[in-house]
Amino acid sequence: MASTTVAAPRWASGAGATGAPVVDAVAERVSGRQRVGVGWWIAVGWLTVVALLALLAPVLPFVKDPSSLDPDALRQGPTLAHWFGGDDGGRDVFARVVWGARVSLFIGVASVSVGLAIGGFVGLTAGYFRGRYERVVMSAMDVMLAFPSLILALALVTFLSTPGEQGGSMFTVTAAVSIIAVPSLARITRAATLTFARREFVTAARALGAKHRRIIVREVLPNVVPPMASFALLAIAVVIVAEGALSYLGLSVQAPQPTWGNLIAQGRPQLDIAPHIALFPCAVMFITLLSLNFVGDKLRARFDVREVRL
Amino acid sequence: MKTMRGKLMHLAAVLVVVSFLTFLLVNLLPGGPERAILGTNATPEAVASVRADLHLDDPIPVRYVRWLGDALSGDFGDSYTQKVPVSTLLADRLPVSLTLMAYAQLLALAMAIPLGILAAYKAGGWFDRIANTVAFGMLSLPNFIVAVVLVFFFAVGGMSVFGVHLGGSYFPATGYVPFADSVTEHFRSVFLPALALALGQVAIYMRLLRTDMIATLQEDFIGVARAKGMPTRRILLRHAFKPSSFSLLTVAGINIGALIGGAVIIENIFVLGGIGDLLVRSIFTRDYLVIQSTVLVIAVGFVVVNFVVDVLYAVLDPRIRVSETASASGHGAKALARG
Repeated sequence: MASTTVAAPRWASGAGATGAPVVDAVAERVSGRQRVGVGWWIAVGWLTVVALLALLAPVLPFVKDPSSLDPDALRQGPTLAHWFGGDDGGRDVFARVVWGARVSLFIGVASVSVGLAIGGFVGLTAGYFRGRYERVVMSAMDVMLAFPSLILALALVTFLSTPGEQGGSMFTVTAAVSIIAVPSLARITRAATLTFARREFVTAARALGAKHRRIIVREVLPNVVPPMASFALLAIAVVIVAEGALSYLGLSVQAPQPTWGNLIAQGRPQLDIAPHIALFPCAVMFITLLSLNFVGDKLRARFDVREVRL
Repeated sequence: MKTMRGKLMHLAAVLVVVSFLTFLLVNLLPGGPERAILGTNATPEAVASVRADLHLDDPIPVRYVRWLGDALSGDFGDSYTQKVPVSTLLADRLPVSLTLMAYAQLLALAMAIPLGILAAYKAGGWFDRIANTVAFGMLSLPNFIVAVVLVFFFAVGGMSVFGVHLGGSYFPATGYVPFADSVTEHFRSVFLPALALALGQVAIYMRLLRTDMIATLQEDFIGVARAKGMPTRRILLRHAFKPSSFSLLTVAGINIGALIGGAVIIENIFVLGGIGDLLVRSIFTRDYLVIQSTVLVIAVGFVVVNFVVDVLYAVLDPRIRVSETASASGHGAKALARG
């Protein structure tokens, strides 16, 4: 879900960052100013709050036990005691959304890290060594992209799970989503590597007799990391959506363990009588994804990552 | 045509690899397919009969070729839970999914084209800014959330805010009515699902068309047309839109992959009974032959669509037909635009 800017002319720069991030990045570099705006800080703030809540959920006093049943809160709308209301079992929806964030954020960060490690290695070596190795490896990546990603995710979760297990465990879901993230991350790393592997400082290092390993680690990698890091945020958003879709379908981490996807699925049949059960998780998930995309897009514009595809 | 032959070879290679991987999925299951089908407590006789039925004692390449040959002739085997040929299940479900995806695609283009043209015409203006902001938001909205919100406001009655009632029950929340049964009910039953699937695409298409239109409007021939006193409307629609629509068409083709993934979940939310619904149900009942066949059909469909888009792109855009270097840049635009 990345921006799709293709060669915007200069005079379009007035259209705002979302329309022409590349142009904005150029303008910023020319003017030497590094402005990110209030919206960017609000987005960072939201992400920090969600991450802290998720991390500290077991110890925070105002985050209730997500599985304790309170008969008084049965399908009740938001109150002071239950900020997001209660679900059909009288469980606190706010606590469940916070505990759901643990699953979404963990799988998001873990799979993108695994994807970056594998995809990054593949992309870096393919972009550096080129030749037959590059062709073979990148063809393998293309074959993985030949499957629609959600279908591949469904198939992988199904076939990675042990027989008799309904849906996936944290491990199988993380593994499946990581595999799906690898080809896109490999392509982007390769694209970034290609731009640096031909630069003078690489030639200079080679002339000084540096080995491939040293050139890749000391010369190329440090230049590839910033664009990759900004893209990682966008990738986390994509992964959270994929996990949400799997768990909406009941194929991710199983209920009663709350996830954003299964909370929305749980609230879906009750939209007419207790809409808050589905709508609060929807809202939190949307704002989180929006923040990730916004922060990532701004950073990406700064580091000018061209080939974007996930 | 040399490039055409190369593309066909590439297509064939990808199809072989994709089908082989799909075939391997079932065979790599822990305990083998027979355990997966029968469960861990099956009797040795039942296991032996399934092994014989699926020819599991033959080497993998032999089984792959046999399986592929059967699949090509439309024989995907029988569903273990539903006791009917998988091909019958697919034939029943496929039209629903294809209908949903076609409507979603049409709806998305119908919304995105006017929005993109308008945004590009007054680039930087208030309409452009609002459209861009909304599009950015839409890109962060997973389609299952869009679906739930649409159901809430347009199917189950909506909500009252400060005494003002928003929404109502205009459309059914679930179910699919075939076109042949009732035309109006058919469109009512697919409108919300198609819209839920389309909205995410609108944002992608609109932004893409806007960028290309802005570039085209810079060209000399637009200036000439304007100097001749041609009406703006005509310039935008006749002169600027066509050359700006190539990447839009390509991306619309590529996005069919995203639509397939989206359709799985949207069908599930609206209980439409399409191929995605079949896939998810089969996963729950561990009906591996159905899962395997469904994944095969979807993946092959996706690969073929991408191939057709690639060929059409070359046919439509004269720049690419003429020079090979241009085709490289076209490829770059495509890679960029796969959102």
